Amino acid sequence: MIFGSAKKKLTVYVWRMMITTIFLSVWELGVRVKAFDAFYISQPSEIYKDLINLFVTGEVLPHIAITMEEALLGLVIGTITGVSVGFGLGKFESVAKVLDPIIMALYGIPKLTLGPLFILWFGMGIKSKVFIALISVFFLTFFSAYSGFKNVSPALIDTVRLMGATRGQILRKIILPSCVPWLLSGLRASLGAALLGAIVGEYIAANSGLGWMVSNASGMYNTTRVFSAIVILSALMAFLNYCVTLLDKRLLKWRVLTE
Amino acid sequence: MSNVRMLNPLTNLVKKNTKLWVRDLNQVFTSTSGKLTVAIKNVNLQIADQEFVAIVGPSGCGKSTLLNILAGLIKPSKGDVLLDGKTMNGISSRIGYMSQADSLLPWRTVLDNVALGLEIKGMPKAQRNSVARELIARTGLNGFEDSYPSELSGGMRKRVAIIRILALDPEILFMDEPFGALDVFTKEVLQDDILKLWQETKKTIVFVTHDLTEAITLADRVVLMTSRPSTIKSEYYIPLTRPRSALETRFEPQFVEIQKLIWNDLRTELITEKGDE
Repeated sequence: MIFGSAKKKLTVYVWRMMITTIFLSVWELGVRVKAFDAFYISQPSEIYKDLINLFVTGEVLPHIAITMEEALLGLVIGTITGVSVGFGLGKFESVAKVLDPIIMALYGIPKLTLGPLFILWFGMGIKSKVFIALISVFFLTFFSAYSGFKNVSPALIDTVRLMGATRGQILRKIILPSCVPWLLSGLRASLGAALLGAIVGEYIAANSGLGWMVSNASGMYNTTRVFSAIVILSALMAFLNYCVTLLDKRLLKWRVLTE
Repeated sequence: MSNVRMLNPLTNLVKKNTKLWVRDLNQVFTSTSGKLTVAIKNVNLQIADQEFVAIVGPSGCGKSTLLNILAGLIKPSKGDVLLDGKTMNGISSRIGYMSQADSLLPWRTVLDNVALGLEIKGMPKAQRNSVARELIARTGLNGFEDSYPSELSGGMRKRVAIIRILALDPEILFMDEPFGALDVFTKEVLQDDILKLWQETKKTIVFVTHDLTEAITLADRVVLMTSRPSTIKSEYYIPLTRPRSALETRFEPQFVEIQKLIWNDLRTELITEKGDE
């Protein structure tokens, strides 16, 4: 722990609240005294009203649902394929040697630039966004799964081999649990990548979703709505991060104790 | 003094009652550059049922390689190993292996580590946990069932590693420098544990170490190995009476005598090794 005592923790919390309050107040007051132009930056009270309105009417819910669906599908499919390919190449060294430069070249492509192609191939619907999300997730997961596999202790594998473990048992009891720390850090990075992929896909071509909301509102110079969507997106991101933190605490209990 | 070496009352017993028989074993490794290294050359060894054998030699002499071959982890380049008269083919569940490295699964609690082997064998959870709990209690680790390895001392971790193997009740125990990295006091306590274990269970034990005192304290027979290419240099019967104590046996006059004898033999090996480099 960086901040040991409860008192210090409270101080940190108070400072955080103060900074946030000052920031929002300057923004709000600045717009009211016409120091800033609300046309460009809107104002917190308006954004707040808009957010309430969006949720009361339920107008935003389908957009949240669609963006989450795209991001989570991309996350799940990208993680499964990333782990499988990562472990597979970890196991078959010679195949990894052949594919290494190809994978690095593909990895070098800024994934989001593939967006327009995916739209062309898979259409305007959800499928193209899932692909944009999963391609980023795939590489992040692939690299952490591959490194994790390479770092499994051979002594631990021998230990269970000597107890008569089958290949499946070695995978389940040694390789997977050894890779958990690697996979969790991959997952954390993948969350952001999946959400970003979905949103960028919606920027390019869509008729729903939070990304579409942002691009649609800015097209109509509705900065308040743009900020509302940004607030919702960062809340979603924070929520997903929190889920991973919980998972982290549960799966890495044995590690926390070491510190 | 050399009579200690000549009069080996075990010789006949070993021949009549062989548990493990290593025949003409050779191990050659090929490096990535294609260079051949002879790790083990013409090793012949017979180990009797219930015998405690210590294998001693300079570090890097291929003791661990030999043990890995006996355990079925490595296939030898030449020669074979018989277990109860039958050629061994790969890993046998009748052998329990304790490696040099700390090989507890860090993400598993003590209980789940001890139950690991039984879990692999497919024993139901309630049953394997009760076996594990009993072993944990007998070793004086009660209260640590739900601790993770990182919370234990080095000596406790070794104890967990030992009972994890005992949970499977193997006929033969292989130990590869198990106490190498421990401090002297912990080491002696654990050596006492091993002496007690042998006294109670009479399992056949093959114990690899570079610590001559440890070897003499524990074993019925000390096998000396040469540096690479490794082969058996000589064997010594250790006539010290049992039950022994890790703390006291080493001060017996006979112990000191045996130690001197073997040390002289081992020393020539160390000098040749140095001269080679």
